[in-house]
Amino acid sequence: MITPSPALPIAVPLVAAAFLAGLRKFLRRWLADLIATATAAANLWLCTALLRASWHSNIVYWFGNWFPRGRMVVGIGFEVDPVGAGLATLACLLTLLGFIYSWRITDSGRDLFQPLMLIFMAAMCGFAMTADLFNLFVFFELMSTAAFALCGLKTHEPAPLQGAFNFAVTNTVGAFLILTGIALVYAVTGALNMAQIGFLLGSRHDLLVIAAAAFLCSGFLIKAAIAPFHFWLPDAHSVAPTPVCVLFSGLMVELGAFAVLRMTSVMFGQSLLQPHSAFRATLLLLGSLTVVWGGLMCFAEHHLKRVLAFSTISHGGAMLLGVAIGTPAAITGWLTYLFAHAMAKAGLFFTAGILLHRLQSMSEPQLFKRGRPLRFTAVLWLLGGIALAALPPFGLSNGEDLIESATHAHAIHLWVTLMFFFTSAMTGAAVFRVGMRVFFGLGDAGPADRAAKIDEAPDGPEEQHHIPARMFLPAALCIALSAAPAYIPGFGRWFFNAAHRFLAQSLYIARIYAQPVHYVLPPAPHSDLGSTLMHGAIAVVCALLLASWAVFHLALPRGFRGATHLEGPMFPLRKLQSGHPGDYVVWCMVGFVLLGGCLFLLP
Amino acid sequence: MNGAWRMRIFFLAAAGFACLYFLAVRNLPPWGHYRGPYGDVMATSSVFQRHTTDVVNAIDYDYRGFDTLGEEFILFTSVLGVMLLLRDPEKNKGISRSGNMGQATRFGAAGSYAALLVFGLYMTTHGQLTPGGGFQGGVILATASMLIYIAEDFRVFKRITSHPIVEALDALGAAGYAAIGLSAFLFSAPFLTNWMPLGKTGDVFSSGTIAAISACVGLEVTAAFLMLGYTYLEEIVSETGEGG
Repeated sequence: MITPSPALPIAVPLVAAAFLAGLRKFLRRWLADLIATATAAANLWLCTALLRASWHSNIVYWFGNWFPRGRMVVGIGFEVDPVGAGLATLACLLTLLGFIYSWRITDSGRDLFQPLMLIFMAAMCGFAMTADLFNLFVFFELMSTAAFALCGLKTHEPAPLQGAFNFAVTNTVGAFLILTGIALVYAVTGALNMAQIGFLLGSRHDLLVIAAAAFLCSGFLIKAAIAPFHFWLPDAHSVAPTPVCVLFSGLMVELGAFAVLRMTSVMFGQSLLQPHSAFRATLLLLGSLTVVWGGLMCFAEHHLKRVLAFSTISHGGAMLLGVAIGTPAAITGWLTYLFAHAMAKAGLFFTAGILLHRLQSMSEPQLFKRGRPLRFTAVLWLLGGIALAALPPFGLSNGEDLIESATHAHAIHLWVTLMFFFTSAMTGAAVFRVGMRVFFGLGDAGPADRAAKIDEAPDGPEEQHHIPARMFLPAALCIALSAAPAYIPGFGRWFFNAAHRFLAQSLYIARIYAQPVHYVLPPAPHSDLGSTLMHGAIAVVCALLLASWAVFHLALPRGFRGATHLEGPMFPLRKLQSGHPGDYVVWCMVGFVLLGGCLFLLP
Repeated sequence: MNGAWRMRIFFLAAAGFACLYFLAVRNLPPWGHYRGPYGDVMATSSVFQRHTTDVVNAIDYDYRGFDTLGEEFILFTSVLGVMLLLRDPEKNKGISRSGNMGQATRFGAAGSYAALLVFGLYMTTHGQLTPGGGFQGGVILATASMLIYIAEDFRVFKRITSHPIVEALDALGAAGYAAIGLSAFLFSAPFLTNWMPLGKTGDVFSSGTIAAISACVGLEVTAAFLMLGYTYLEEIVSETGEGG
């Protein structure tokens, strides 16, 4: 099998996007759709081939044929490892499903949807594969720019502009932080290649390294929507079109945490990432805060896309816990969790898109009882909820178990287990509650909040009477793939190999300088089916109880109606989600000071 | 959060930010003690390796040309985004301009336009020799066209800049950069390898793909800024008051 050039997954979609954008006034809609879908499919093939080729050793690629001179890197290099190639493959898969889902939808934002999606996909591929710190920043910017525009695709009302604006402001603050961090790193090392920086810094651990790490990590944690950097995410999700939400929640947010781990493991591997370091403790703290905050707000929301957005925040926090623990087993768990969550969340967003298409609303009180004829949609929605609650066979359970067992016989084991239980139960409960009200018409319509009244302009002119296969199939496929780690043998071993290679700093640096590298793989850890079943079952039962408590609260005696408080104003969390971009920037600053302060002050 | 609390929390956070920033900057190497060899190596070797007397452009379009491809597409995407977000036709528009300018303005504008056009083209084509290049030249070329709006009226400007050809040229410039990068595959070299003849140092036709990429970027930036100018003016200028 030939290995394609790693430049192709970036160059091909960019050329196709330019072609589609330049000729958009001359191209027919079906032709533009065909070109975009074919490009995404071709990119999926290219990335899969890269993934296979990177299996035995990382692929190093020098743009412009500029090889390093001695220890000095001259040009820009890619180092494609299984994690990078795998994330690029996931980006292509989700984009392809998004194109199939939105095939010939009437409102496509003046035909700019396809070129912007292709640019977004190319940027995510480049982001995942690059070995150059500044190149990482360039792709961060390209990804953000395409995302801001995609977020405001439906500009019939002021709300999408507002969501896109908040998103743009907070992420631009992140870009400034990253740029400052890059400047600091360049000032001490004179290098931009991450491997060369890691080689030059070695185990250096002084104030400058800490400050640079604080700047770089805060910037990428804004993208990763970790509390208190997360405020932009629900605003952006509640206004973005469905395929765009799938890409935001499924991959873009997780790429933020990926960048943090890639940077720290390659550049600061021997300083910040030592076991029991302040850096790990800080990430644990921020991750736990995010899990609780996202979980509480997820249950308190009544706009379907906002429910899913807050669930992404909560799961993102849980994934950050895996990153913070950072042993090969925990990173294997993180990868499994990331993949399964991306598929489950994509399936849920596609299902929400079906509801929007059929019933013209995203608000839980307005959808009350109206989903009763939609049986298959109900099945998909509930399966998605079970997947989020991490019941086997869905892959989130394996990921959760691997991360938890990585902390076995350690003081934080109980805490991490509790956090994973909390995120599973709260997000599962929110999805179940929506399902019980919308599809089964149980209880009452539930309280309406201000955010639930922001309604999205639907894709079609009036209520549709059937669900086209192009919408249903991607949703079903995503939910099915979410359980793939259970039924495809060897999945766990692949993820373990990828995680092990991802963390091996010296091997990454050696490959850049074309030195011979030998990979030795210890035996892969196994997740224990018994404990995953037990954890999953407890989470699902708790989620169902919580959902029923909220739905049937009127049937209960007055003293037992506490669930309405969980569904209600949630003071002060909801108050903080004010929609004012100034507030969000203030919280980004607070988060930066919190992260930097912890890195400085913790032992 | 009301205004007063926002400011209080902001100043608290800003104080923390200032502390961290101060600690970082205080530990930087002192002024003039440049650490890396990269800058010095580039400054001495790019003339021999690439026949380019402007080192900045050699780095932008050759050594680190892949970054610049990304940057060019950031501009391309931003313009698409602006056109997308500002597309609502039913906005109330504040400014209305009526009547044409006097003869003196039109004459002066035509003269300046010609001069700026030549200057912009010079900038775009001489990036490999003197400071300048596609980005700078493109901005000059596009802003020169704003003189049409000043001297004539908005309708003339709109007729030129809203033409589908401008969008096509914008895309052609952007795709051209990537295509030059892909053309290296014909020689089984990596993406963006400088395979064209390097020419004689100091000539206009020297430095291989650097000049070609610079021309593509010039085209893209010109068209992109024309589209931006049109989109913003469309947002604030009402057509009904025009013409007089």
